[in-house]
Amino acid sequence: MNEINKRKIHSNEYSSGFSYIENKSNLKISFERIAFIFFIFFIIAIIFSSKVILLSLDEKIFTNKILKKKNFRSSIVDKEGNILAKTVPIINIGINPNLVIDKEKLLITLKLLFPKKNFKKQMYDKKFFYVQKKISQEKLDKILLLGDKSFIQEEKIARIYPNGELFSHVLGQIDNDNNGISGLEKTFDYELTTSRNPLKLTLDTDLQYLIREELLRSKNIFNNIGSAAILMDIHTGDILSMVSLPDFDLNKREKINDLKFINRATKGVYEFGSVFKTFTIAAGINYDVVQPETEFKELKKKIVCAGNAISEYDDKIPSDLTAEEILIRSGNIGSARIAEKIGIDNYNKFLQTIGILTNINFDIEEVGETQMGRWGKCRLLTIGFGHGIATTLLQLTKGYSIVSNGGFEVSPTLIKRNKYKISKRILNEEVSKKLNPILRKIVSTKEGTAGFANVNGYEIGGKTGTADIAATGGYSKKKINTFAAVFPASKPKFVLVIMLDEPKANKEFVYHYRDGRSPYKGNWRNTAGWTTVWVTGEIIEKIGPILATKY
Amino acid sequence: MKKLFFFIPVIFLIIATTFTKNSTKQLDKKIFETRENLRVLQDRYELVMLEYNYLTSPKKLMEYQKKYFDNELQEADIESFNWIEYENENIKIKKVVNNNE
Repeated sequence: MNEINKRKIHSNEYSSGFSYIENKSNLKISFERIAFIFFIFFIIAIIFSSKVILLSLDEKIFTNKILKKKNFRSSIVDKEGNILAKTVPIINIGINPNLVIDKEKLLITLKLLFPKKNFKKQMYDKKFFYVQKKISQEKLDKILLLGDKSFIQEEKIARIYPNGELFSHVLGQIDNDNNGISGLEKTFDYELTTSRNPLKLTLDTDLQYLIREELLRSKNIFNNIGSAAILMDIHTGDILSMVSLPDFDLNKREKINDLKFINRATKGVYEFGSVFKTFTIAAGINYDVVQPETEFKELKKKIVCAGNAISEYDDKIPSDLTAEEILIRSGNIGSARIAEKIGIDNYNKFLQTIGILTNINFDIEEVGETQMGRWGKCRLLTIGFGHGIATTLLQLTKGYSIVSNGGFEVSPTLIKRNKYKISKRILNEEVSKKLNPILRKIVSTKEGTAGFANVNGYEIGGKTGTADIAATGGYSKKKINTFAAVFPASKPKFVLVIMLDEPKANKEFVYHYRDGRSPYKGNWRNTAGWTTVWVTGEIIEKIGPILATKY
Repeated sequence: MKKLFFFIPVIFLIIATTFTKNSTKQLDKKIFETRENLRVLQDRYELVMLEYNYLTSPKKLMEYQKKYFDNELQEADIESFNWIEYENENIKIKKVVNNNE
């Protein structure tokens, strides 16, 4: 009993040591844990939220990750929103002969659907063949109703150009895999295949059509091998029209390898001749070396430099002329003398400033580069009247814009912008003020060389250029005739530069003078004044009302 | 009491999130459907525009002019056109092209 009692006592003592006491500190620990986990999740949520906000703010990160869509290409529209290029889905339907159950029966059905076609031979071959490419929805529905499993549908895209050849050099072409291979289709390939927004251009379809029609007409009159024209807003650099002939129908999707199809407006590099004299005078005014009234006395009819003769194209040009008269009468010797006064450093700097000697950053890849030899005394003289330097029509247009718009920087573009930056003045303000009236006199006065462009109401100013085409060891008799027009001369808004490649004088053509003189037939002179200027006059007469009312 | 203050907002937030998510899901669905409808309409509009642009292209218009209005349409002299401008309730008439040099 004692033992039992002892055990009991022991047992009581043992159990008392393990009695449960509620520990409040446990609850405190678990709350801290929850708070800690909540804190971690809160931080993660903040990190993810900030990333989402960042991604939504930075559109580029998002758009760059969009893959190029295989069967998609955005439209290209002109400045009015008219479609110039559009991709439409098409369906090609073919037959896999191995899957045909009853060939005779299918042949009868096909004969009913396509009476002009015969598929008998292909049906008994084992190869897949097309029944109809670009099938109409109506015919496709009829075929699908047959329920024949041997018909195979192929979804493709086709690029449609509603204006055919009108914008061929600008728009360019795409290959069968939806890759742009030339023109804007190439430059903006990524944008066109990823963005749903159409590519809006600065071009005007009506102006483009009218200019192209007149250039085509000039081909019949002057038998030139090609021609080009650029019409540009002198202040913004927006190109309203860019034509190069010959051109090609984009809908035919032909391979264009022939050099005659070169883009003469941007890629072709030419010596433009006397149109450069405007730059010579402009440089002289810019560096305050000459003024329009500066006199040049006893100008020779011929000078020799490094064994090469420089002469006047017209011996009737007086020996004493002011700088203004030199430009109006297009004097070679006088222009060379002005260039000499300007000096190599200044003239080089001037041509770089107006973009003649610098590479142009343009919207299409087909752009030529200015070519000229090393600067030297003779090179300076020849460049003074536009020889010994070959450049593109686009750079010439840019140069004329800058010297006529008050000396402001201009970047020619084909892409419509939403905002226009205020341009930087890069030339002396006096250049345009003094130059534009001279350009006007070239068109409006008897002494000038561009009377055929004096279209009533538009105050055309401009400069002609007739240049021999360089050949091996010298120059050929073939010509490049150019006219750079700026209008209205009192407050220029547009520059229109037209070039005819290898025109010929047409003795049968009847010229109607704009000053009311009686018509003239039998012209033998193959100069810009008798070819390109006449074409420019006709073009401005057609496009003038559109420019005057729409722009 | 502390627990209650902690769990009631959490439960409230969970319920609120569920309702919001459900309603945004419906909205997302509606937005998607509207966008798809718009896309189809846009495609159809562009095809109609393509046809319209083709039929009213300068080349076609000149063809119609020759075909239907030969000798009927006459060229108007741009110098006979004027701009009418309203300035402080006054009408100003300006020439479209200025021939006074």
